[in-house]
Amino acid sequence: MGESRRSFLKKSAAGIALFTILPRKVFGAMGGDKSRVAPSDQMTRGIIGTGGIGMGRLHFVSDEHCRLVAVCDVDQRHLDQAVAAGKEKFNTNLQSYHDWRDLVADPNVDIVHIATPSHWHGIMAVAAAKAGKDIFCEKPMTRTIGEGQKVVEAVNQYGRIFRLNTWFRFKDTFYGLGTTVEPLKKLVSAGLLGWPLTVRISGATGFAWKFFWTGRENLEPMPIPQELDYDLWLGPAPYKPYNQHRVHQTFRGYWDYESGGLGDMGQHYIDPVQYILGKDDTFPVKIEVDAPQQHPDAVGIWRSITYTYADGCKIILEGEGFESKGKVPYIEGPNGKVYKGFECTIPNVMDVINTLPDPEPRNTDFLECVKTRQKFALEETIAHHSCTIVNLGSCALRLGRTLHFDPATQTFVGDDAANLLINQPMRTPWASMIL
Amino acid sequence: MKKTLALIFLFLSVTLGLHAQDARQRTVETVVADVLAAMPAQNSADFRTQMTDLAAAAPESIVQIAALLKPAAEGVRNNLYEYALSGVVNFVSDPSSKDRADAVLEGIRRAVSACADPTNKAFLTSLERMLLPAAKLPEAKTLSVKEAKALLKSPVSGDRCAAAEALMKNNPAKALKFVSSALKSTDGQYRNAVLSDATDLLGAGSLVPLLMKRFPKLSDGAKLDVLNWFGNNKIHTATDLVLGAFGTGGDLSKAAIAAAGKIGGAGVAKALVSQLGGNDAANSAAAMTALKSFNGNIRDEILQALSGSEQVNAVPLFALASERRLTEAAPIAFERLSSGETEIAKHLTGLVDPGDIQKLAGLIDGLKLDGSQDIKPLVNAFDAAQRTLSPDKRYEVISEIISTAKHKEYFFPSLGRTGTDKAVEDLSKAFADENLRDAAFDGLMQADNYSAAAALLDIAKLSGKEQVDRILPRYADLVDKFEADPAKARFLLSQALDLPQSVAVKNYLLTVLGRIPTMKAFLLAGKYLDNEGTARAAANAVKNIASKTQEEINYSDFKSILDKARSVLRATGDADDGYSADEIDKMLTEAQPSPISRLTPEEEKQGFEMLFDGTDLDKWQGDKEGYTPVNGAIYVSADYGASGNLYTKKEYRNFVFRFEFCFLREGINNGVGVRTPMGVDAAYDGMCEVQILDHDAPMYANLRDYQVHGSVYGIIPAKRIVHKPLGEWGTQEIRVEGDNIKVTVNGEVIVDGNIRKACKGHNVAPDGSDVNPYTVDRRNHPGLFNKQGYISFCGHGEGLKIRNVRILDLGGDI
Repeated sequence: MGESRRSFLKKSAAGIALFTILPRKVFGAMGGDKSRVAPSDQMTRGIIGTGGIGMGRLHFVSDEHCRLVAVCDVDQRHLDQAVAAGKEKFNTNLQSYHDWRDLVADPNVDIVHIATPSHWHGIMAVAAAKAGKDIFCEKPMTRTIGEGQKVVEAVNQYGRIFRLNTWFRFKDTFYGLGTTVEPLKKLVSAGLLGWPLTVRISGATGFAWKFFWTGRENLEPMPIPQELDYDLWLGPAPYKPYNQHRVHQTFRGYWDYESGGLGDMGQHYIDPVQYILGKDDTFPVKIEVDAPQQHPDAVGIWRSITYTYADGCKIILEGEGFESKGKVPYIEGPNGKVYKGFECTIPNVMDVINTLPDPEPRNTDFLECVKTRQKFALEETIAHHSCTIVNLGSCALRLGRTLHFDPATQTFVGDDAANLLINQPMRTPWASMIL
Repeated sequence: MKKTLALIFLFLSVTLGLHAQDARQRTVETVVADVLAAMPAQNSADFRTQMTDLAAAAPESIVQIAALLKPAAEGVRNNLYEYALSGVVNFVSDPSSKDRADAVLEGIRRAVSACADPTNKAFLTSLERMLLPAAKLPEAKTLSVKEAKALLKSPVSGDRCAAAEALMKNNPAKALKFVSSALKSTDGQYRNAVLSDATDLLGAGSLVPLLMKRFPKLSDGAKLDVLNWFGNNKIHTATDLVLGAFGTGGDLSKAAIAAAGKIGGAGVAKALVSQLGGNDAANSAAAMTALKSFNGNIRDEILQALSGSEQVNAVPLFALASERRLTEAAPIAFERLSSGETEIAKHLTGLVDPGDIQKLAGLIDGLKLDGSQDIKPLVNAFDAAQRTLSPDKRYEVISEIISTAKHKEYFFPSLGRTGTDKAVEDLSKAFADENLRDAAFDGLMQADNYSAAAALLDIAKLSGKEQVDRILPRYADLVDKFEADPAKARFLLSQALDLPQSVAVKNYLLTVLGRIPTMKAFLLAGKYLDNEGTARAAANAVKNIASKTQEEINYSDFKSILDKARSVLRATGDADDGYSADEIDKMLTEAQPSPISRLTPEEEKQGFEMLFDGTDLDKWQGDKEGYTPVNGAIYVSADYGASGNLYTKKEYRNFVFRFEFCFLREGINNGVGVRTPMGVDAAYDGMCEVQILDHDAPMYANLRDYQVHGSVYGIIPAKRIVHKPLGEWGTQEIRVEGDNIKVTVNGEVIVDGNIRKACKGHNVAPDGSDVNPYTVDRRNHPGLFNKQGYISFCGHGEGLKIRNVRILDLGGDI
């Protein structure tokens, strides 16, 4: 790892590389470049990972409230594109980093935006918290349950503001529901559907599981492209010979980095359900899977994943091509059902919902949260809970068996092998960074 | 079909059962071979069966399989071994099936030491780890008191937060001291972190006295934090303090109001209601948010405030009353409305019920729409008052109002929104009236009824571009929602796409088209990839269709269109488009090029010529839209209601014509025209038409034998065969020599006759009439004695495939 980083530094312009380790006060002492000193109410942001997500129209932005000042990528081509785009779109010379640790150490960066594959999220979030940065992290929050615990600890210990980037628990039309989740939250909280509830996240209720994120078996080794620092791309993940399908747009198909469509869409679809069911402070106790045997490297498809909470509430995921037939409720309780498009068995349901109080207001403006130091609506603890649902599913899929989970200790019950998946081995030196 | 599957299933489970029983008698080699043949297991029962066998034969079975792993390289396939090895390790790591864990572990260990390839070795080592007890993770480093004290002076705020947390944890008795000093800090990050740590450590209650005592003298920043903290922790004892801060102004007021809403309680509701409509707009808005989510009774407070007259601005109160459906407030609202407070009309929707319909109708009908009055709020309320009525009842009520109204047109949009057939009918009629036209159009645009689509398209065809742009998205929505037949929906959208329209509307139509999973929709959307304005919408449309369609799309079209779509999507740089491009990647990897049909060596020797080998229709002419090459076959997809024939380029006299055919739908009807001119009915004006017909469909149960598949239509009956199941291929040969015709289907001769004999030499009625007593169908066949002509496929309707078409030209005269 050190080898490739050094050789990169040698290759790139020495001046730029040196810049990265100059602390902010040095600029102050040098007197020049006033644009580098942000006014106190203007925040700054650096993006790690300038691939599809980091360069997306929602994220590659810079304005007077929050200026984009730095970008980082291990693929030189992606990095060059980001720097060029920064010039073109914002007329800014973005500070560019090859090694994310340099971006995290940059005193000009207030907020670290983590837009890498998920096997990096935990390590980067912990390091950013330790460096006194606030964190905007893409979904899924972490690849393992253990990493999620470490992020929660670090964010709290260092007094940071954390946001996981999915949003349906507080805004936007929630896929098949056809409305925001708010009316359903009110309906459920008022107990009008009864208890316990079963939620079905399925093509039949308007949610697609993106099974095209499956991996390939029998990958042949390929030469590593010159622009890519593959070793640093892998980071904590086990070393496997390079094949282009492992990286960039198709990385989600490999257990080492994510868990296919479940990892990609899981937290997006499940986090709002956790909110609706009021399960932000607990975890499912049983996870059942119905799936073909999974390959140890390449993520495959599945027919269903069923989560059960201690009180009997269930979340059922139905794989693409294995949806229930006929009219299937999205959410179902003893006293009522809500179908796709908010069709409800309760007559005049919207009138009923309107007489109920709205859910408690939450802080949904991340920059405002950073300023006032209030927790964001989807903060680290809540995000760790909904991400754990995703990770419980991938543990059960990989092992191909029913698992039992203890919410109090966040460990599997009576299953040593499953518990090995909670904290998975990392390559040096990365493991030490998350402790 | 179902029966066959069940049988296969039964067979499998029987053999699997046997195989489990005799596992111990098989050699390790046989066990390994059997397990590998069953990898990957498709369900947990199979998995258990296979892994039980494999584990029983461990460690030898493990060593043998691991020895099969080759260093990864192009063409090397290790996947089955990887499935088997990781499968068995997962299996014995399961506490309920761990009996053979030691043997498996031994096998893995032997495999690790025998393995030279680093990648495979790493894989085997990772399996070994799954069977070992978890290594203890080193504990996270905690700060010592000394380190923490030093860190408390760090310039980085996060360090100070961590230091304070460590010191408070070390000595909770000092936590309040930290809070006390943090409140004086100018560092907001530190203040809030210490507040939150101390709350976790001591419980919120322990902090309350200190915070209440210090509050008056705190900086504004610290006050804000404490107000937030009172709200987040729902500190009831702080209610008075929080209410007292309502008037402090700016962010503090807003924070106090929000905190009060979270704390709740009767006194708070009154205080919040009093903020509604006050002079401070920000406070009023904050109070509105707090009241909307207020967990308690606000009804009485609202009604009381409304009946009082001291309220400066009652609009927010009515807004809240409407939101909460406080119908008791309706009389007050109507009263205030009539006294000129027109703003209140906007908040009637939640207050009214069916009892208010006539009153609202009267108010609406009395409006003068000269720009001074706004009709919308009242119409919204009018609609809302009917929301519990059925659509038919609503239609009844509204049409009665219309019959006596001064301004009928004011009620047309509401009429349309009933979505009833009758409403569409009435509005279509009204559209003819010059004076009512605009309002009737508005009504039609609102009607959630499929019959409105046809009416709207007719209007669009006669309208200017601007109007077309308004109509088409609505039209597309209706087609999308109501048309169940995808072929028809595609046809209806193609009509819309043909009208002149803006790029934005075109893109909308393409998005809707993308939900129709048919081959023709795919090709249609593909045509819009080349235009810069429509490329992105078209690319997403073809992607969506390709991923959903059950129909076959010709490989070369599939590939060229998706290739284009992928580069369009990659170029946008948008993350969602990137996902879509990845999805296309996967589809293209899995797509198979079209198979090519070839002559048998014998056919080659005899001199047969390929007329269609799966690639193109170069040797054909005629309706090439309705007959298209799709993955090695000619797919017959003639448009809805249209008909079309495909003709050979050459004319023939005597020949042997061979092809294969496949029915995709029940009741397919087509035929082979023999010695026919172009553009006529081959059955009468050609020599004949040899039927292609799925006569097994129930609708053809009463067919005459001279109409069944293979018959020389109307001339020579055929032996009625039973077709292969839908989706399977049948073969057919037609041999024509002079007046002799022989038809062979699936190897069986079903017609062998002579057309001149069959009609006793009279292809037309000797008396010149329409009834010919000499043919079995009693019709004239003027073309029957044609000496030469084209060979054609003639028919209409979708769902037939033809492939491997070849001919032996026997030439010659008779």
